[in-house]
Amino acid sequence: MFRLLAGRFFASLGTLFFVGLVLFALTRAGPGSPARIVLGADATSQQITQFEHANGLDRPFLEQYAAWLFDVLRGDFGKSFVTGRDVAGEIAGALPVTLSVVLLAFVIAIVVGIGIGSLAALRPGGPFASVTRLGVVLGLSIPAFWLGIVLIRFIAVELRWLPPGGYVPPSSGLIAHLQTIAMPAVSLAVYYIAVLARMTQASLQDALRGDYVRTARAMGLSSPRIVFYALLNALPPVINLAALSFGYMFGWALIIEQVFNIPGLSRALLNAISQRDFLLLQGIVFLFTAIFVLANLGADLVNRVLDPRQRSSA
Amino acid sequence: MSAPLLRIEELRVAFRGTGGLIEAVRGVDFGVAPGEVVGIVGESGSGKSLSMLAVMRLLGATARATGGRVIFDGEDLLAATEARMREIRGRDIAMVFQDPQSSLNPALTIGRQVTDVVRAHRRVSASEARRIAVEALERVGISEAGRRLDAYPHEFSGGMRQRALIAMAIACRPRLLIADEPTTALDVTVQAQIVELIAELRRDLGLAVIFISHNLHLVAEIVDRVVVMYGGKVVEDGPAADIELAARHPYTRLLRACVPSLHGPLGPLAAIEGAPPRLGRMPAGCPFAPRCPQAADACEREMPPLATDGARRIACWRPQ
Repeated sequence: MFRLLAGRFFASLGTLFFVGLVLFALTRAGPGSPARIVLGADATSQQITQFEHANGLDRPFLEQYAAWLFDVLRGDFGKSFVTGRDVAGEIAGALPVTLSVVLLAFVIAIVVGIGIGSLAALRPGGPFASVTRLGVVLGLSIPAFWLGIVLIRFIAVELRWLPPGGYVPPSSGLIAHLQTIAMPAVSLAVYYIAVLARMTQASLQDALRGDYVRTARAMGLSSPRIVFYALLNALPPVINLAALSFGYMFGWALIIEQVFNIPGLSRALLNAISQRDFLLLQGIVFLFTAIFVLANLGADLVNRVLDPRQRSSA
Repeated sequence: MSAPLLRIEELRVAFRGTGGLIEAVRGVDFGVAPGEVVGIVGESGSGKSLSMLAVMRLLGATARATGGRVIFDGEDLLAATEARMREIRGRDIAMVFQDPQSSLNPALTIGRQVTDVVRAHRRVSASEARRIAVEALERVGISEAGRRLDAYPHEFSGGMRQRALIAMAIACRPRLLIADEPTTALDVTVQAQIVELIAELRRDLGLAVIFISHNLHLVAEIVDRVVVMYGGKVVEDGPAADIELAARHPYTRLLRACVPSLHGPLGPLAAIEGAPPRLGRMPAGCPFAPRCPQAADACEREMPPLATDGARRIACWRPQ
């Protein structure tokens, strides 16, 4: 078990290494030098060479990558070319904002998605299952940003229940905080509610047809207990999907933050892209990759706990 | 014979097909006395498992009992509420199935699965439930049962799993155990052990057993009475020794000949020509007539009634 976990951990590190390499190459493959942006259009070529030398941009590609990776492993993401500020500090400032939106969306998606999917699995041909099927298609087709705009229009502008945008950190009041992230989180969650509900429904429906469910019924066990036990066997694919969803949510969160004018990572990332702020861009995307990899590692762990066959095989 | 524990009367079960209901069990009629072991024998599709699932009210969404009565201890199970059935299942009647591989929940320990049955029917503490579970597991021949409680099904062999399932079934001391081909998925040597175990439980606990099988010889060793089913009907029913030695229905005789003897000389493997009738296409007369070497015109026209002859019953126009 421990050896297997260690193996997973090192495989994840390997993934990060290669993703970092590709990311590094792509960042530099784009047109435009950060020097031009920082120094302005009328900088002399000598000034530019000087800038590139000072920031190590003239060194060989692999050398640059090795140096960067080494620094990153020590927690040093470098300094922004443009603002001169510490990249790690810049990210640390914006990450909690994005994270709070994504976490709320994730919790909503898990609870509502698995809940709806389970209920729909109980009566495969029943009315709730039919409504769920329709709802899933709807949830999958509604773009998150459009839903966000609709929510602002009706809930914030018409009904005035929630603020139309902006962000209040939890330190300034938890209620106010939740009020600012509620609509963004719901917009973000709807797609994943649909995905998780569909997967839960299919997986649980399958599990409920199992022979052990018939055994449990033949022994007089109560229905809620039987469904719960079937769910234990139905959850692993749902958990894997949830982990992927968690990673994807960070991508969609960038757009949602724009819609709701939330000062999260999206602002930093868009600035980094338009200003060729290599180190900031690399730092943010590398962080997203790490979150993705970690989420999948977490899913493996949870599944290992759920499935005794996996637990004892290592 | 004393008053029956279970009395199945004119039981009918039908599948919901595209063209309406398709009858698969067509008026099954027999009883089981307290402590009696009855074997139900027949090919796949003869309706033997389906009848028993109907008794347990476990037919699922696609099939349902369309007629008859199932009287258990004076109560018609077909008319009972689902809540009442839940009380009866596992406490008064328990059922074990063919495939021990998939019949246990892979995510739960053996101990959890046995204690769950106990706690579903009796208000006992967790430690008391554990004690009862250990006792049940020991009774079915699982050694070091206390330690094995924490094992998962995948750590058990096929035979051990079937024992664990039987332990779940007897944990609450039911009066009737329905075993649906409990040995089919097991090795031959293990098959004999499970059959022996069921015979033992019956002796020690006074349990009545319905043992479903397609192997007449296997069943004949432990049962008191054999019920032979074909085409959704009982075609012959009688004391095991009589059926084993002198079956009167042509189908039973052929079925006997199909099982190669372990003792006699090895001849060519016998088989019954043709295939069982398809669901929804039951002939008007005797369902076995198309395959029967003795069939006459009368057999094709009209279904013979199940006629009583001493301790036996037989549905054939030309019994032997």
